[in-house]
Amino acid sequence: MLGDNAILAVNLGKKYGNNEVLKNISITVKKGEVVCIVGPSGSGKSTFLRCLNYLEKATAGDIIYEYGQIKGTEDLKGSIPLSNSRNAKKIRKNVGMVFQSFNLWPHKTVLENVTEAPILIKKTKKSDAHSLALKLLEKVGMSERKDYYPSQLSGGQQQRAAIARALAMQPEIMLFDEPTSALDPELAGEVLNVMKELAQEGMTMVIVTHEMGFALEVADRVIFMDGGYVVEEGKPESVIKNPQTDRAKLFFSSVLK
Amino acid sequence: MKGNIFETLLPFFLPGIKLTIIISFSAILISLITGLFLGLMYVSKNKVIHSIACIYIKIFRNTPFMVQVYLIYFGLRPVLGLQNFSAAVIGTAALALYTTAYVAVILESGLRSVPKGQYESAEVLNIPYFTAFFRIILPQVFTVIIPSLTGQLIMTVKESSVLTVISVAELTNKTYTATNETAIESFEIFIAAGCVYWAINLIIEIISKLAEKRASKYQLQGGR
Repeated sequence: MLGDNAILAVNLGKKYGNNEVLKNISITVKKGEVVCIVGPSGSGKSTFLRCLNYLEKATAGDIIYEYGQIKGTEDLKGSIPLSNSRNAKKIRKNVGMVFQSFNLWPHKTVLENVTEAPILIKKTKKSDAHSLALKLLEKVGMSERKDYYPSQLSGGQQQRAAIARALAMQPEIMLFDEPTSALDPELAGEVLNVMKELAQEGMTMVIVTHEMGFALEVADRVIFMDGGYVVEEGKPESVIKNPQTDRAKLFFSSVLK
Repeated sequence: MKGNIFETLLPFFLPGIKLTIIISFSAILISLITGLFLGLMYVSKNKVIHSIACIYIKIFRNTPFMVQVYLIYFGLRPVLGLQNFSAAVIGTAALALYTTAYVAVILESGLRSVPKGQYESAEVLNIPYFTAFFRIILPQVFTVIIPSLTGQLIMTVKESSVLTVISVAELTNKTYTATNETAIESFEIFIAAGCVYWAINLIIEIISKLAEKRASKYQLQGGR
């Protein structure tokens, strides 16, 4: 069923009470593919991304990985399949996530942030976790700041450390939830460069972003969402530069000014 | 003359101080642990567990400590067949039960101050909830709540004086005795007792300042 696909979202829906924020979304992400999800605020793109690793519980449809499957259920009280949380664990083992607000743990140094999960969850030996962490911090350009606390770092540095923390679990897929939205353009650039490098190494990535330049340059595919629907989907140049629908035309003409 | 007061009061004060310190610090230690659990129950999403914690907190925060002491000593003690336990032990337990409610509420307010993202970043790394709570959330909460916790623990030391009503021979009780059994003016004796309470609480304040400094070192090292 999956073939060379990494993620299959089938007819995914999400309702908060009567408020339907995701409507029948079906998206496929191939292995090694970089997919950027763009769209106006409130279009459901972050919710969709969070459904992918079960931070939000979809109310309809299925999410399928080779590691396991999550079923959307209408009734959040009663019949959430037990398999969902079990499968979410397996999925999260292989799917890293980076947040808009970094969410580094403030009482731990950069190095401790990165080594925490490998030591605690993967039971990696402390020395191995350290050398892996140093390698990853080198990669994101943070090795000189390894003993700093998050409060001593700029937003861009914090986000790069957060990327290293996610990579320390050696995921095969990375989800980015507006990773540069809290950063000024210069700091955003640092983070985007790191992400570009990851993409070039063949990491499967799903990125919710407002960085159209990045999407044009790095993404294999761009998905435009609005009002809980996927409105357009395709090559970055065609979706961003030459959108077909009125809604997308309006959006891209205003963001590309 | 001053040396005389001191010498006269010492036999009364020394055992009183000893007992006050033992009772207060035992109650504090116990309530820090039980308060942690009650606080966890209080923030629980499970309605039953939350309600139990809620009722407990309402009862112990909204009634006078002296009433609680009477009820526990003269009511619960015989009902539960705890007559073998001395007034000091029952009093310590009452003080711990009372402080627990406050520690739980302080903890709850601290927990609220931690952004949801702190839990989520642990969750997506598969760190189990309780592990994340103790390793990632609690250390941050602790830093935030140290000042209000200190205030509460100081209250606990002061409230231990209420135990004199069930004849626990703690400092206040001994102070009363001294007013009856010595020729020294009552108000002088009470000033002396007040100074002792103040000194005990000063120690708590100093410990708390040290703990605060240690716990918040990640915030103090400044600047970006």
